[in-house]
Amino acid sequence: MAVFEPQQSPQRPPRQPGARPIQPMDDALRGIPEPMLEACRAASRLIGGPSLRLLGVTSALRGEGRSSVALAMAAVQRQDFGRRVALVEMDFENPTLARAHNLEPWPGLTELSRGEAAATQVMQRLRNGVQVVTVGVIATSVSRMATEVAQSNALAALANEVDVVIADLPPLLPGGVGFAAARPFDDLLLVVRAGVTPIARVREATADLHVTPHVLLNGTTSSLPRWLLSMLGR
Amino acid sequence: MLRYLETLFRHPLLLISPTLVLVALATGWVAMQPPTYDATVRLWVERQQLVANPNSNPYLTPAQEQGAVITELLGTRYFCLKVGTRSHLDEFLANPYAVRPSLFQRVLARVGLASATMAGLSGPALDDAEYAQVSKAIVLDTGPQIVTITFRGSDPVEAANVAQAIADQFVDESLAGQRTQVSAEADFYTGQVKQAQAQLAAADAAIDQYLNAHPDQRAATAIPDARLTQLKRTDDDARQRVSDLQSKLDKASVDNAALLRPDTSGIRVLDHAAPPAQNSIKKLLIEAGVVGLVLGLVIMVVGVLVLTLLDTTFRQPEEVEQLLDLRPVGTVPKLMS
Repeated sequence: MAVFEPQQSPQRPPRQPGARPIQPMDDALRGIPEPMLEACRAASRLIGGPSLRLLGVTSALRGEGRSSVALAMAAVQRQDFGRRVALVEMDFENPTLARAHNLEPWPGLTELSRGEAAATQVMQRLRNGVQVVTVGVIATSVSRMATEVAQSNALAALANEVDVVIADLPPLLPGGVGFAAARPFDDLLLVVRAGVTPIARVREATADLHVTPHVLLNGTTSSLPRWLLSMLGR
Repeated sequence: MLRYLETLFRHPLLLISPTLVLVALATGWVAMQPPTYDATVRLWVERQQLVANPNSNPYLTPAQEQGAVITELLGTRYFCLKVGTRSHLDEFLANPYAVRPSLFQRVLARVGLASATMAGLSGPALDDAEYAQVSKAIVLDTGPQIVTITFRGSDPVEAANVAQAIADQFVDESLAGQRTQVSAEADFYTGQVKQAQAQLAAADAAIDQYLNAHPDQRAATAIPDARLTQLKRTDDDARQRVSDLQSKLDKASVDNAALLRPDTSGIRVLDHAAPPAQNSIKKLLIEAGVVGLVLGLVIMVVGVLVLTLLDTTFRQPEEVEQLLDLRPVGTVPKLMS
């Protein structure tokens, strides 16, 4: 198992001495809607279930429910299979996990990839057992950061500490940040917002991916009345 | 199919409202029009027996044939003006108080923007109005031998008069056509008979002249020579021709005489037009409603097609597989916040 020694970084914000911020609230996990958990349960089984090791959750565009799905996938892995899970935030442009779950913003993935912190130091445990890795302090451009993380062994280090690593990746479009961040993942879950994301954009996003992603359609709804659905046998 | 249904139920108000608006507009428009009355006359038609029609189509019923003829006639100013004169429609239209103004006109008159009565027509405008009104009559073959003519007018008596006049004028036109044909036939045969009789007289004279020159040929036991035989044959032919032409002339004369009777045209009026007791507003409202409904449904179908084609997003997981050949692993239903 790789051991990472934390190093000082000039960009690092001041840290309260002795503070160990690993007691965040897990309301967000409890607040995951049951239909989403159920969908992620089914998806998790189809993707690999208890044998899943490294999963990147991405989307073509922003606002497709990627972070919620990543959180739900992590919760399912933990609750259903009893596995140790690391939920890694890799949306460098718009990190939300730390703020949304009242977590310490650093040390995080940035520090881990630079060798400034060990894997165990960057993981912040939620009450239900899911370990969250925030982005950390980004000292360079996000595209370079994505490349650095992909080229480093940060994800491997995390994978050594837990059973499964689930990453909340940046969207694939526009630009190359999403593709660079998705590069280390052999299993990708592409979240597509039903009725919102244009098919052409999804096609464009998946055309250059190094693997064929699994697709999770988010926000499906049927406007047909019940009687018609039953008539159509659906 | 499912996607089109989804579109319909996703935008119900947007897609159904044009139908409702069109039905409301159509029925509203009809309700604003002055009251109208439908008068109907029914004709019994048979194939023409006296004068064979060379254009008769054996695959059409008599009603289809004559219905087409009436419709054709209604497209002519000549026929429509004849009907207008016969039914006194011209006098009716010339009377400024005869035609009741529409609700729209009455509203305009109330605010001083129009006259409370219709202007009386005259001259070419009157002819145009007559033609426009009469030509709108509806002709239907309601059976193999029954033709129904319906005229819609603003006055019940006038509507009945015009409907009846259309039928009467058609019978007259039909008879007049047959009479002209038979008369021309009789004239022709008369001339032919006269010509043949002259030829017969000449042939008789030629035989007399030959017998006078050759008295031996007069004897009962005389063997006719070749010349006399030839003359007799010519005479027989001329006599036969006169006989044939005379019989044809007789037939044409009989036909001509028969056609002077009104019931020999093969067309009879079964139901005479009577002034309708009620106006046709209910019928018109239903018709307008149906037209509005059909138009609205067409717009709705086009709207569904356009909206579905414009929707370039995924709606169901099977579409992901069909369009992108990617594996869908699940669907998260839309969550209401």
